[in-house]
Amino acid sequence: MGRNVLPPSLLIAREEALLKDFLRALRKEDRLVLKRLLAGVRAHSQAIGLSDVEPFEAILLAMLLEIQKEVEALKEALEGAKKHP
Amino acid sequence: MKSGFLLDAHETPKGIGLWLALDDGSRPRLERAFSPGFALENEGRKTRRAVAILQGRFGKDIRVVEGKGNDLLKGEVPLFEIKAKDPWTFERLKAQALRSDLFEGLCVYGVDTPAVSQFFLKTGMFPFCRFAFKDGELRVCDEPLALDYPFPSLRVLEVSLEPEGLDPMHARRAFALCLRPLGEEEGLVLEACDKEGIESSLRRFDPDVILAPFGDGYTLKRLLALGVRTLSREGFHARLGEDQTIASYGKVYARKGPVLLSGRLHIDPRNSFFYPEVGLAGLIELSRACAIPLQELARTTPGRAITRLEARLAGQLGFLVPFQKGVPEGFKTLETFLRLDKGGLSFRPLVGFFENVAEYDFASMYPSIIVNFNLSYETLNCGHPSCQTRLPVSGYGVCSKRTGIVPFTLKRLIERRETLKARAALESDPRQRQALEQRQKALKWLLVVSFGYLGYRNAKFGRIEAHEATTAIGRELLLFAKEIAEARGFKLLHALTDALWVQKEGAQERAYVELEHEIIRRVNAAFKPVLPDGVPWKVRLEGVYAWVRFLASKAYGVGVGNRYVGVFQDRTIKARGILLRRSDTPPLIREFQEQALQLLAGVSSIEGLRRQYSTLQGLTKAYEARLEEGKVRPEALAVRLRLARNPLDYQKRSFLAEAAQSLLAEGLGVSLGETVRFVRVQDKALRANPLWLYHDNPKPIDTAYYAGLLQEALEELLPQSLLKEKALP
Ligand SMILES: [Zn+2]
Repeated sequence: MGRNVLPPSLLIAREEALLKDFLRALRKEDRLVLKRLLAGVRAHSQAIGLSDVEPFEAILLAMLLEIQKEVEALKEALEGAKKHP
Repeated sequence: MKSGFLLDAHETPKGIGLWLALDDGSRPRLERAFSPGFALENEGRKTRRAVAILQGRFGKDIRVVEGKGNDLLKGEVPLFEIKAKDPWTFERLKAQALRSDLFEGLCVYGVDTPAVSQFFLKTGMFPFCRFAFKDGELRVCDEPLALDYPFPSLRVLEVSLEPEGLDPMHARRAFALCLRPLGEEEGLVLEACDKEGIESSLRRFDPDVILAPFGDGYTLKRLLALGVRTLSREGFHARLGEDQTIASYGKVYARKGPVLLSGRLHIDPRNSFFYPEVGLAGLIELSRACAIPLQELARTTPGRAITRLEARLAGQLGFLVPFQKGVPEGFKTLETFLRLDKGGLSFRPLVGFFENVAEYDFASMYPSIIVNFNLSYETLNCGHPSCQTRLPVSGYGVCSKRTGIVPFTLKRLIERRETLKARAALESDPRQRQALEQRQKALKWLLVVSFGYLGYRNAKFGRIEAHEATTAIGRELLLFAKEIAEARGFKLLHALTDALWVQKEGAQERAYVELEHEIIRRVNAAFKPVLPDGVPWKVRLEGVYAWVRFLASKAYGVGVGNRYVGVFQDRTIKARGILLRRSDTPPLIREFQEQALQLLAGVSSIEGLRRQYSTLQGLTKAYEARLEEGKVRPEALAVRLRLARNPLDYQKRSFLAEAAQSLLAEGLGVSLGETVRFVRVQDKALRANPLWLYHDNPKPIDTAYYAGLLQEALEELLPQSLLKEKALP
C-alpha cells in the first residue's frame, strides 16, 4: 500500500466528514467531547499523512496517544500532590 | 317503499345470501345469483395452456372472457377473466388451482378476494349500508367511508355462562346460561341443557347480535350439539370454522374455530381481537370501511383488515388486485441495505430520576411518512421518465404522478380519525362520545399495523424498500427535532422512534410549548410532501413530567428505551415496561404497584419521592402480611403465560411447562398459543400449580416468591439507592 497522496490536513478533514452522521446522532454533550478529541489529532497530522495504515486508524492512534498523555500527566500531578500535601 | 340496512352477507351454493334489517323491525333474507372469479394476465402460450387446463377440468362450470385490466405496476394489461358459475364452484376452482402448480410463473389477480367482497365491489353494497327497498330491489344510498351514518339499531343479547369468569374449557364443572338483553339489568338464567327454554327465549328476544364469551370454543358449539334450532334465523344454518394458531409479532395465539350464524351476528369477546378493544361501534366502523361482514371482522386481525381495505380501494379505483407480486427485491445493493436497515431510532436513555422533563411525540409518524412520501409497493422507482423525485436518506426514486394505494388508504384513515377525535372531544352525550372514541380507536389499530404490513414481503401491498424508506425518514425526523431542541439549549434525555424527552433547567411550561411550535413549524417546512395532497406533520407536547425515572434493562444494567415511569405536572401517571404493564404479572402485584404509584402521583420532586419511602415500605409490609395470613384469592396470585410451543415440546423444566404438562396429565386439553394461569406453591414435585387444579387441591403458597415480586415492584418505583444519593447541590 502506498503513501497517502492528499495533504494531511485535507485527509483529516475528509475522515471527519465521513463521521458526520455519527456525530449528528450523538447527544450534544457527547458530540462536544468527541470534537475535542478530534481537535487533538491535528497536532499529529504529519504522522497521519506519512503512515502506512488506513488514515482513520492513524487518527484513532493519535487520539489514544493524546488520551494516554493526559492520563500520565494526571498521574504525575496526583503523585506530586501526595508527596507534597 | 321500505328502508333499512344490510345486516350480513354470506356465500350460498348459488350466490350471495343477504340479511336485511328493515326499519320496520323485520329481518328478511334475499338471495342473489353471483359468479365470482379471478383473472390471469395474458402472457401468451403459458397462460393459454393454464386456461385450457382449467376449461378441461371445469367445462361449463366456468366462463372465460378475454379483456383488459389495469395493473398497479404495469398499467393496462391483456387478461383472461375466469368466472365461476357460483361461489362454491369458485371455492373448488381456487382450491384446485392453488394446490397444483397451475399458477406457477403466471400473473394472477383477485383469486384470494372472497366472493362476498367481489359481490360488494360489483354492487356497491357493504355491511351496514343504508338502502331503499322496493319490489325486491335494493338501492344503496350510502358509501363505505361516509362519515355520518346512523348507528344501526340492533337488538343485542348477551349469552354468558354462570358462574362468570371461569374458562369452561379448563374448568371441570357444569354451567348455567344467562341470557340478558344488552342494557338491561336482569337476565334470564336457564339450565344449559334446557333446549326448549333456550329456543323459546331466543325466539322471544329475536336478537340481531349474540354476544357470547367463549361462544366459539364452548357455548354455541354446545347449543348446536344440543339441537337448539333458533340460534340462526334459519334453522340449523351455521358455518363452523377450524381451530387455528396465528403468529403475530413474535407471539403465537390460539384461535377457536368460529361459529358463524345465519341472520344473526355472533361475537365471541373471548375470541376476538377487536371487540374488547373497540366495542360494537368500532366493529361496525371497520366492517363498513373494509367491507368485511361483521362476524368475520370480529375474528380477524388489524393486518388483515387493512389489507382488505387497501384491496377494496384498489378495486374501487379500477385496479386489479394482485395475488402474487412480481417485484424483485434485487435492486437493493448491500451498501444501501447497511445504511438503511436500522429500524427506528433509539437512544439509550440516561438512567435515573429527572425533574421537569418534557415529552414530545410525532402523531402517527410512520403513517404520515408513508402518505407524505407516497410510499407504496407500486410507487418506488416507478420508472416514469417524468418522475425525478428522490427520497431523503435512501435516495430511492418515488412516483410524483400518482398516489400509491397504501398512501391513498392511510391518508383517508388519518384524516377520518382526526375528525372523529375532534368530534369526540366536543361531544357532550357520553354514549355518543364513547361510540366516536371506539370508532377512532378502531382506525388507530389499522394505522398502527399499516407500517409493519408495508414491509412484510407476503403482504399484498408490501415491499421491503418502502418499509426501509419509512424508518430511514423516521430517524431523520427525530434527529431533526433533537437538533432543534439542543440548539435551543435543551438537554436530550431520551429518544425513541417517534418520541423525544428533553429537559432544561428552570424551564417553564411556556418554553416547552414554544419548542413544540418551533419543531412543528420547522419540520413542516423541511419535509415537504412529494405530492400536493399530503397530511400535516403533527408533533405534540405530550406533557411535562414533574418527575420521571428511566430504568435500566434487567439483564444488562444499561438504559433501555421502553422502561420508564413518571408523573406529569397534572398528576397523570405514565408507565412503560414495569411490572404493572406486563400481562404476566400476578394481579396482586399489579394492584400493589398501582396503589404505590398513586401515592407517588401527588409528589412533585425527587426530594418528595425520598420522603415517601417509608410510606411505601409500610404498604409493602401490609401486602406481605396479607400473603402470610393467606388472605389472598388464588386468582390474584396467578401468573399468566402463553404457550409458545406444545406442552410436551418443552425440553427444559420451566414453570410454564410444568403447569401445562400437569393440565395434560389431568386430561384437560391445552395447546400451543393458549394461555395458562398458574399459582406458585411450596411443593417440590409441582412448583407451578395451574389455577384449575389449585381450586380442587390447594397447596401452601410460595410466599417468598411473591414477597420477592413485591420488593421488585417497589424497587422499580423507588429504589433504595435513591435514598443514599445526596440531593444535587
Ligand atoms: Zn411515477
